[in-house]
Amino acid sequence: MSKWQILLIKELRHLFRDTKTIIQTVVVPTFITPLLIGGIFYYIGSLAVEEGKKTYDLGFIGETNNALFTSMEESERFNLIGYESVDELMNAVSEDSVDIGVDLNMELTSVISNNKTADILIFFKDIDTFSQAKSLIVKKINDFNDLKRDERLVNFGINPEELEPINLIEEDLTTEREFAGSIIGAFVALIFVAYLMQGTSTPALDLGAGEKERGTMETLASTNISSIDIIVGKMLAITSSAVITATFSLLGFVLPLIIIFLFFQNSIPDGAFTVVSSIINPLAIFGIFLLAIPLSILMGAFMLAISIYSKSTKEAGLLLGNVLLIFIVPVYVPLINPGMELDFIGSLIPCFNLALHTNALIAGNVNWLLFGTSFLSTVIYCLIAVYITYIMFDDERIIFRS
Amino acid sequence: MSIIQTKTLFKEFKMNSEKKGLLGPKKTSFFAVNDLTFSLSQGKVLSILGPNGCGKTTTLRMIAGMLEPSKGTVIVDGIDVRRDKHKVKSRIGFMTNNTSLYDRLTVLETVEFFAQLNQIPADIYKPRANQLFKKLDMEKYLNKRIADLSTGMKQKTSIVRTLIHDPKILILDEPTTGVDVDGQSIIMDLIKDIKNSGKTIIFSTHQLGEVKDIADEIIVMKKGSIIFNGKKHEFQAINDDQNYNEIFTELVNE
Repeated sequence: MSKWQILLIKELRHLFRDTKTIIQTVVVPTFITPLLIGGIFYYIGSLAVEEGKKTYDLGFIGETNNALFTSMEESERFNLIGYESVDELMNAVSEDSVDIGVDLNMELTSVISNNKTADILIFFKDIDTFSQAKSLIVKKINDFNDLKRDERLVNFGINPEELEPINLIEEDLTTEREFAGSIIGAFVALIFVAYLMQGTSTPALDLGAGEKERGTMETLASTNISSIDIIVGKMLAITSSAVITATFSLLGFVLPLIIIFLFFQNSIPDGAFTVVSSIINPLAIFGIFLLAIPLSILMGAFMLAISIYSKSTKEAGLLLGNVLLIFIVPVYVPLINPGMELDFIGSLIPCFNLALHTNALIAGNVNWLLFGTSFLSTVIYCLIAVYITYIMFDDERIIFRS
Repeated sequence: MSIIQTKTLFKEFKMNSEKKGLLGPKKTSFFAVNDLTFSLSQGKVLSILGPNGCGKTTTLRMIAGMLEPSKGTVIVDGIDVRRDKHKVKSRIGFMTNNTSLYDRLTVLETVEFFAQLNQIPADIYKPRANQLFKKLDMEKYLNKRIADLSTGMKQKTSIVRTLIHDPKILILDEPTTGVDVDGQSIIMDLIKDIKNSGKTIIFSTHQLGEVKDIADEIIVMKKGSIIFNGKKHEFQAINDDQNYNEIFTELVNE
């Protein structure tokens, strides 16, 4: 056995005998995260369902003997509350006494009858993204507007239908797989990168700054093992931990889907069925792992270099906390911009490329040339990072920095 | 014949000064080891004494190939440490000044790890380890994790892992620090045994009783430089009316 292999076995044994490592690499990604994600989705879903049934308090002032007010009054989704002045109404909205306010205009009927334009004011707070109050009231106003416009056209002797030169028909050809890719892909990548980081940072902290703090780095430096053997042994231990964590995180994500697939097949809609099967696609999983392995080595080398530079685990923890942003921010960009497409420059940015390739792998429309570019560029970054770490390990000022 | 030779050895370290620059404290340098020249014959025991921060550990680390000298040479068993530090390391057993072992490995796994790192075949290191375990009365603890051991037992494990590749030279940096009285006497007895087997030993210590017991030669350091280098009887000859502690205190306070 070569020295790096001896060191690797020792590092793995030492790492995985730590309960913290087992919790972080296996327990949390397999059990806690799916529960957390499931819980969040359930909560968000139930909020959306509740909003769909909710009756909103609608404050109003202005004319009430018109079709618009009648339609609002007849709606089961509104509980109408009258106010004396605009200021009173605005205060009620500001203080959350009502969900939305409408100034219906005191002269609505007469202005419209005179073929003029009447102002209707809506007061709202655009904070609650789930609230349907505004969209419901806007729809009522638009329907009333359409009705009155058509009446005017008829009065002018014009058939409203003849006034429309184009009837726009939209047909969305997005497949369910593509939809799954754009929505779920970036989310899967985010979870994956988060766990790769967790899987690398804890052992990097332990095998770098931790060893310095415990004095075992000095013991290791006193033996005739070379710096390159130390780097290879430690890097492989960190990468193994990252890949194990990532595997369990994917398992934690996929297992509940498989359970739904097997036992609740009849109760899930067809679209969701396609989404689930797109994620449990062997090519997608293989592709994600192919990119994740050099990425985890890159992260590991980066974190080990920082860890070994630090005087203590406390200092390393502080430095790593800031550095983690470098890896996590690029994954967020596609998450908040669904439908974003990867180009050559993007394919060279680690994590960002993983997120967009994950989208494409799930959607089934991977650009293999860009995939190859991403893989090769990550391997090159990874070699540079390993070389820098090697230089640091060979520098006595860093190994014995205190 | 000298097995260890140092010639005009210097070690310079950079450190933060009290002056502050734009990007934090300015760097300044100081010599942790300053013009150190000495030699040690095979089979002899050298004790390096000195107050904290006098350069003992730095000197030991340079001899062991862990730190590169800023100037000067270190020759160990005929090999220049600068030229082939790995060969030098294979001939040295270095024990640091704290137990510095992997908490989650057992005693047996620890010793096995260091034996394998030194490329010692199992049929050689296993009987050697068993012999040492027996001598140090450690047999009951072999499958216990390091974290569960007492400081004394950890120190014994450190000694076994240091000796497992049967090094020609043993370097011990304050080997009895933090060990109880019983542990200290066991360690000192073992060092005497090792001395009797013909190995060369360098050890740093604050315990002058240990020096009197086992050292052949003594070096006293102060601020990186040697202020005394001689045989044990020459140290005592400084003042026949004083004990080791008094002589040492007088030397370093001069």
